[in-house]
Amino acid sequence: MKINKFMKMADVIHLNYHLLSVLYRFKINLGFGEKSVEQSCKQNDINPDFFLEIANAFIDKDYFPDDKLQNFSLSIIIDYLQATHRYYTEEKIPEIENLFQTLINNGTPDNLKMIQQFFENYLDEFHKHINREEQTVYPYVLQLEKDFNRKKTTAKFLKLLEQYTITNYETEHDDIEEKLFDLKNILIKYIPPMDDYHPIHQILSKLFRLEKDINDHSHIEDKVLIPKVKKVEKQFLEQVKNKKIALV
Amino acid sequence: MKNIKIIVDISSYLIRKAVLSLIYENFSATEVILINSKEKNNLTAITQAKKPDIILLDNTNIVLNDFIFKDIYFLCIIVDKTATINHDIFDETLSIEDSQSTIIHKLQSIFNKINQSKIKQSKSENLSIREKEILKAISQGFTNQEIAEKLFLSIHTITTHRKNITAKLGIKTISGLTLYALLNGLVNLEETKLK
Repeated sequence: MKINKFMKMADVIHLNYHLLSVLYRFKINLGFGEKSVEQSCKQNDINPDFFLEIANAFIDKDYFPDDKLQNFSLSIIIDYLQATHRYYTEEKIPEIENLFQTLINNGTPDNLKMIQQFFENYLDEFHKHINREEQTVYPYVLQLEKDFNRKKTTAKFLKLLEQYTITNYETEHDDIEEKLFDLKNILIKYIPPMDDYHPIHQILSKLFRLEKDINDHSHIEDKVLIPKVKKVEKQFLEQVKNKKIALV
Repeated sequence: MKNIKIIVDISSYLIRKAVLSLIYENFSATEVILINSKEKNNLTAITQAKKPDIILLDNTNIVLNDFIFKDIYFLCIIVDKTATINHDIFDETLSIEDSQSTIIHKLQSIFNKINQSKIKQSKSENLSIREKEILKAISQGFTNQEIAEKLFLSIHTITTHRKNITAKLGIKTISGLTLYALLNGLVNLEETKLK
C-alpha cells in the first residue's frame, strides 16, 4: 500500500513498523496523536514529499519513482544519506559489536574471536567507505549545487569537476556488501558448536536488518544521487561554456 | 539467497502482476524478472545477461530465436486461445483458465526438476583435497599467480578451483574464505592476514 501525505502518521507506522528507523533518521519524534504525515513532517521541518518518496521506496521494493525523487535538491538527499550513516555508526553497528563483546566476555572458544575479528575488519572497510563519501563525495556534490545555484564558481572547483566527476565514484563501489553476506553465511552454515546460540541468533537478525538497510541506502545513492549529480554536472559545464556561470 | 531465476515475458500488465504474486506466494527462493518484449525489452539480451532457469512467455510474445538457449525451461501461458501454438517447443503450457491447483502443480513439477539438477551439480558439498590446498594458500594471502606457480598448475585451473570453492561454500570474499579456513583448522591465525 502506498503512503500519502493525508494518512495519519500513527497509521503509517502500524502499517509497517520498519519505517520507525526512517522516522528516526529524519528525527521525527513519536507522539503523533492524530497528526497526518504532512503535519508531522512540517512540524519537524521535513519536506513531506521527500519523506513520502523515501518511505514508499523503503516499504515497497518495486516502488521507486526515481524521476519524482529527482525533483529534490541535492543537499536534501545528502542530508538524508548522512543521517543514515550516523544511524549505522552510532546505533546499529555498536549494537552488534556489543553482542559480540558479550559473547566473548562469557568465555567462548577462540573460534568466535576470529569471527569477531572478521566483523571488525569488515567494519574498518565500512567506515573507510563512509568516510570517503562524507569527506570527498558529499562535499563535492554540495559545492557543485551551491556554485550551480549562485551561478559562480572558482577555477579550482572547475578543475576538480573536470578531473573527478561522479562517474569515478560510481566505479569505486566496493565489495563490502559481499563481506556482510559472507559473515552471515559463515554464522548460519559454519558456526562452531556452542552452549547457547541465543546471542548468535540476535547477531544474525541484526545483520540481516543491517544488510537490507544498506541495500536500500545504496539504492538511493545509485538511483537517485548519482543520476541527479550527472545531470547537474552536465548542465554546469554547459553553463560555464556559455558564460552563464561566472569564474571568480 | 535466490535459487531459481525466472523471466516472465507477458504483454498484459495485469497477467504479469498476477503471475508475479502467484510465484512469490507459492515458491520461496525465487527471483522473478518481469519484462514485456513486445514493448521495449529484448528477451534474448536479458536472457544472456540474467541466465534464468525458466522463461515464461505468453503465447502472443513468442519469437522463435528465443529458443536457442539450452538448459532453460520454456513455459507458455496461453492468453489468446485463438492463436495456434507449437506445444513441442515448450516444457509446459499453462492456460489462464487453469485452476489454482493445476497451475501450481505444473509449476511445482518444473521447480522440482530444476532443484534436483541443482543438487546434482553441487553433490559434493565437501571440498576436495586439491581445493583445500588452494583454499589454504588463499588464506595465507597468496595470489592466483603465486598459487599456480607453487602447485605447478595453470592460472586458469586455479580460477576454476576458486570458483568451485566459492560455489560449494557460499563464500565469496577472500577474508570470508580465510575465516572459513581458520574455523576448520586448515590454517592457523599466525599464517593469515586476519590477525
